[in-house]
Amino acid sequence: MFLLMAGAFAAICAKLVMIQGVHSAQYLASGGSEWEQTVTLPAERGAILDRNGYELAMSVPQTTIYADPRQVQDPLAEANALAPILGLSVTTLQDDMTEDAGFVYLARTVDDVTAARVAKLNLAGVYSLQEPKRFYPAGQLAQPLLGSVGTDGNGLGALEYKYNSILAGTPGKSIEEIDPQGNPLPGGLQQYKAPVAGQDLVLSIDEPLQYEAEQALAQAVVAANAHGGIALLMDSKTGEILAAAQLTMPGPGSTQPPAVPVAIPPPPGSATKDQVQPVEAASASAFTQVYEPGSVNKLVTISAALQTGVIKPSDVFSIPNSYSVSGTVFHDAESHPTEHWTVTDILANSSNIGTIQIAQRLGKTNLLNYINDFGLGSVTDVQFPGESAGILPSYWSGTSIADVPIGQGIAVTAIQMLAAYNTIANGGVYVPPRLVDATIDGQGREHSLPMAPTHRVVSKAVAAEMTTMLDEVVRVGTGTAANLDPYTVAGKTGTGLVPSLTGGYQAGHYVASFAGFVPAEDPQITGMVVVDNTPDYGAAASAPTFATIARDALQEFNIPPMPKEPPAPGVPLATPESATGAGEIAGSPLPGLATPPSIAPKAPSTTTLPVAAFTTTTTVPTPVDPSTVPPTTTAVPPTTTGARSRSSPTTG
Amino acid sequence: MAPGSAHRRQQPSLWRHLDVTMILGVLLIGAFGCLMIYTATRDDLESAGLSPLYYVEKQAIFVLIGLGVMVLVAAVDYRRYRDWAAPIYGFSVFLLVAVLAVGHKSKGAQAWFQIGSYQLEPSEFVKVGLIVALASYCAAAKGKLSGRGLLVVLGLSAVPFALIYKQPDLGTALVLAAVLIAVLLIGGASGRHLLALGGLAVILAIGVVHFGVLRTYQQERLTSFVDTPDQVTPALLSSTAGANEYNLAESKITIGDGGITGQGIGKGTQTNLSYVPEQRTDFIFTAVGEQVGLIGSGLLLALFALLVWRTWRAAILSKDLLGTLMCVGVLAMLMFQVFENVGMTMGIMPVAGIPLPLMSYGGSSVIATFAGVGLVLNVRMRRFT
Repeated sequence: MFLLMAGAFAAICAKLVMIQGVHSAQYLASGGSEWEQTVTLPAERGAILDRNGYELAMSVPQTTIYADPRQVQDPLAEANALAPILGLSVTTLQDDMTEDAGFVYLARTVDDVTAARVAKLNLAGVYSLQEPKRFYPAGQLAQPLLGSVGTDGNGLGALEYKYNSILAGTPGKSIEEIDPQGNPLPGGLQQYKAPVAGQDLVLSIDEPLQYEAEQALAQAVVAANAHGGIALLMDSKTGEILAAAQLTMPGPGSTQPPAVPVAIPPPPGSATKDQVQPVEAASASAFTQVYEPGSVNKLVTISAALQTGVIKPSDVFSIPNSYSVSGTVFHDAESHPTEHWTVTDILANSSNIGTIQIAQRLGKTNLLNYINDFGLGSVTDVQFPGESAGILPSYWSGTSIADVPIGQGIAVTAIQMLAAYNTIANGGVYVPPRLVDATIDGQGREHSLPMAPTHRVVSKAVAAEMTTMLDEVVRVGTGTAANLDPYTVAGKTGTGLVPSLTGGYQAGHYVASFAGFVPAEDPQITGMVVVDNTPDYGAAASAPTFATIARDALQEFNIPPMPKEPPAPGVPLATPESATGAGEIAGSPLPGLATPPSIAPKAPSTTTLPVAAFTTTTTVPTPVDPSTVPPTTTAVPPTTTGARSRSSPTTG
Repeated sequence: MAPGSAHRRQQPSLWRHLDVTMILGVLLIGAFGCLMIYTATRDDLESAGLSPLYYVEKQAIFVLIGLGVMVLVAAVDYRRYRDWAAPIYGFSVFLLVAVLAVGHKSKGAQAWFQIGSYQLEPSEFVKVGLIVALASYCAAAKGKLSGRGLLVVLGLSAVPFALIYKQPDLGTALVLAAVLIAVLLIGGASGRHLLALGGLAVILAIGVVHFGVLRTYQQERLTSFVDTPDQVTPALLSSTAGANEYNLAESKITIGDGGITGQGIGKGTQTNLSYVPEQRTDFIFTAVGEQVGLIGSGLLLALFALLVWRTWRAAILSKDLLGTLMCVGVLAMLMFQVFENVGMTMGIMPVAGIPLPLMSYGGSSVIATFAGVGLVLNVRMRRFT
């Protein structure tokens, strides 16, 4: 009996030593995890603002409805009461409320009216809490740029994703003591760390301009019967992207709302009463989508040739109707007798054969070097999520020296080509595109993001020569539909081909683009319009759209027309007889697109613009008939010499 | 009357042999118990709008009553109790029958008489009553229990065991079994009989497990200690068996929280937040463990060991077998309750509802324990008479 007692005592003591001595820390931790409750305090997510401070994205606390199934007394009755209010099925709610858990979400971030109705029911075990919800006050506007935020407050795409760590802030936490029923104890606060609100993001985007760009692009996409499109505007000096419209036609059965409300009449003869409207693209196609640039790429070829000195603007090339390179015969867009064209003529007519001859003088190495210098083939400094670097020829065949210079066998993003044209606008200096200007911290202090370094691509002289030639493209060449008289527009049309899945190209599917800048004398606005997969050729849709959005930008920033300047030294103007659009069909605006009610009505309504000259040009861009091209150049003396006389009635 | 006057004459010398050490130990434990009950109940009482002293005041009164009972029990020669053994036993059984008939039901057991605002738990006193009865019967056999005698002893024990088990109060019933075994061991059951009894016990145990005599909750309680998690998980909380494991897990966590030196009296987080169910009664040892740590709970166990040792000494010093058996019965009661109670809070014994003597809140238990101690004092101070 004594042994029994001694053994029992020894056992108790041993266990006591084990629990309190050896394993005490473990039990202490277990205990701590029970009576201490760590509550994560969500940080307020920063807003995304446009350059004017307009909110493009903002977070607002909303009510989330949850249940503690252990406290729900009659799941079916409560589910029946909640279902119509929350818009959920009774079965779903009942399943949720019978789960073996202490916390189940029923509906997250519902609106205030719904929250109030649920609160009024006063159901057992149904509670609410506050959670931030992301709102986009401008609706669908610029959605491909902004991205979205998940229910748990993480950016899921685009800028919301890329700048998540800045926008999200740092969640705080409080550790407080609770009783076994989970109620906080008075004075039981152990630790409190306040959440640090996220910073606001200030974009370079100008919301009104973005809106106008999306409207203009929507009209162009519909008019051109295209699959989608991109319209970009950039501050020429700083590289700031002012607008980036990225639209696509909705797929069958899509419920996505139209990007911007825009009245587009149904196509003639169409049975439907309402025209299907473009919607926001699934991704920021200006950054993520590559296309073959076509003639727009001739800017790179000719700039490089001028810079390396293999040609002068006044060099005259003999342009036959067809031209064979490595066994492949190249044509211009239209048949023509053998012409003798200057470099200006070659660009103005967008002659493939002329450009190929120039490229042959330039050579592969130089061409590829300049392609790189102009920023093609690498992602921009924006480093947009999912941004493509474009596709440079991986295999250099005998015909590559003919293909690449005219924009085939090479793929670029719209933003790359915009930056390439902006290089010429900036006197030969490449300015990296910029989408985010600054962040604003919790104290309201604005922190500018550093400018990415610029680099010179071509000399100022070459840039001036290119500008004069690009002026001529718009004055008498393929880009007349982009004319914004009295402003001087410099730009270039392009018609890329849509590659076929089976190799080669798809007949009747084009990527029509226009890139340019204005005013040519001192460029302020650089723009780019890409109309994707249209059966219409060339600049018909893109050039007038460029004119529309560039004009909107000129108005928005009160940029007056500049006094005309003489052409750059040694650059011949285009010869009128050559300016027949031989290389590429001239930019005659599509009927639905160019009629004054659809594209020009903005001007009268914006007469507050202090630029007197502007109100006199309400019909820009003038619709032109291909047979009378160029109608706006009737005032131009039919001479190729002398000072440029493309003056407007008023000099703004 | 001569015997009466002689008795009275001997009084001074009798009280001189009083075991003051044991009394001191009992008082220390009782006082410490009051302190622990205070710390374990004041927060709950305050939040319920009651006086934080509600339970501790009552417990202090119980201790004072217990002291009085102890003196009373010690004052009457224990040999008188042998003469009164039959009425004492009969009254005990009567109480147990009565409580089943008209008792107050609480927490699933019908084990209490409601007297005013107090509850009386007769089974606590029956423990002492059975000690007196068994000791008396076995002492009469002079250390040589016949087979018939053994059956009588078993029968004497079985009746209150069955009645208490019926309440149901498995824990207290087991205390009776411990008392029985101890008295049989010392009281002269033959080795053959003991072996037979042991075999019978094993068969009974198997039968009990197999034929579902125990209620489900009793089985779960008894087995939950085998594999108790050290953490409380949601899965644990949602299962029915989990309720017992929860209690045990929380109990171990609370004791473990104390560490070597404890969190300090009044500072036990788990205790203050009432994480352990029944922490003022059966699980009072968790409050001790958390607040005063290994050192404090070790001291408490040492005090209990002191009681056991003094009882053991009294049993050895006893002038006759009757005194020895009474002390042995009390010893078994104390020892089993301390071992079972402390053991279950740490998960080395199955959970059975047994109070920690003198520590757990409850008047019946405190007074009955004092009565048992009084019996021991009684035997010791009369060792020369």
